[in-house]
Amino acid sequence: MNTHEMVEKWILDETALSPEESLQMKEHLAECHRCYCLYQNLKGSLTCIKQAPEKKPAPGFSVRWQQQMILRTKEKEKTDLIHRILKVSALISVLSISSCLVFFLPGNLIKTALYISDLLKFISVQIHQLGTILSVFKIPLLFIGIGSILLLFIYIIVATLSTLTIKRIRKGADSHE
Amino acid sequence: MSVEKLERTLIDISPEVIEQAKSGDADAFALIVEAYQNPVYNLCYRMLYNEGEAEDAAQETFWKAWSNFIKYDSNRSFSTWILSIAAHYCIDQQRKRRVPETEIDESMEEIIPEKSPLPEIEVSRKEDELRLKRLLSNLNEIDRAAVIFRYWYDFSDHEIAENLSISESAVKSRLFRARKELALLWNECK
Repeated sequence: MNTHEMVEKWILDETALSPEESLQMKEHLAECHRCYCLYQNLKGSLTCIKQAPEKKPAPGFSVRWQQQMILRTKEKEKTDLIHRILKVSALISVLSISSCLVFFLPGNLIKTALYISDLLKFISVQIHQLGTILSVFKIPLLFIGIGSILLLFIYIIVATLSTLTIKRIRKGADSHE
Repeated sequence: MSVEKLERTLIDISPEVIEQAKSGDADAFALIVEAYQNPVYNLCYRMLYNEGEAEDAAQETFWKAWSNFIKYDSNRSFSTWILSIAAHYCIDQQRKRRVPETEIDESMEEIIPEKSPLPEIEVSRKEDELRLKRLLSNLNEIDRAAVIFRYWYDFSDHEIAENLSISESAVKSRLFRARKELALLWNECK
């Protein structure tokens, strides 16, 4: 490495130099125009950077942040909900597909058909039992139903009559004035 | 300005406030935003050189910090952590959009019109600002971030390496290259 390259490295490295190296650099800068320019240009650019003032945001940055935070939090909640729904759906789909694959394998086909028929039988028995329970309450339920319809009918008549009466009274008052 | 100096120049943010914000206290985080808005915005502005984009980047930085606060290691300096988020975001933004060099010449006309009504000092300040913009805009994103950290915030090689997720030797070589580039650009700017 010649003096030229060495001084260039010292300038660009910004490392601390020994007194001898410092003197050597000074002497070289006095006689080498290229290195002197490099030194001066670097010094100028770094001074420009160091002296630049700190840029500040437009007033109300914190307020804008608060507003953004509220909006973003709502958006995040929505996205999280969608993600959760998608995850559950994916899980259900995977489980359904895997159970279908297991149940409808050729070896399990007869067993599955038997399970399904048992399940249908069980459901029909449950529906029949529910019908029997409801038949016990048939007459009271009939009375309650008719009573409710009657009450509703009376309420509509009373409400209509009272509205008409109020309108008539208002009309009478207006014509009196 | 080293991390310690940077911490001192900011509004006092006690570790308790940081802990409260970490546990999800929005009011405590609002104090942090108030305290760190200037250094974060300054870094974003110097990286992107566009006020609108710098505002968005600063807002994004605080949102990232707020939503990932759980990942913050309390043993690490908070300033370093938040500036690191800002730097990474700006580097990504910078990679997405490459500023065409002609934009600088256009903005020169915008900043200094032929018959400027501004006083001389204001014009000189704007010229310095433009020169600085030219210097930084021509550097590679990571080199620019390294230069900003070194000469604005006075960060050490280790701190820059930590902030930019690169090795210390990479920081040294990037700064070396950036200084060479700056010297060349300064010559052109003159």
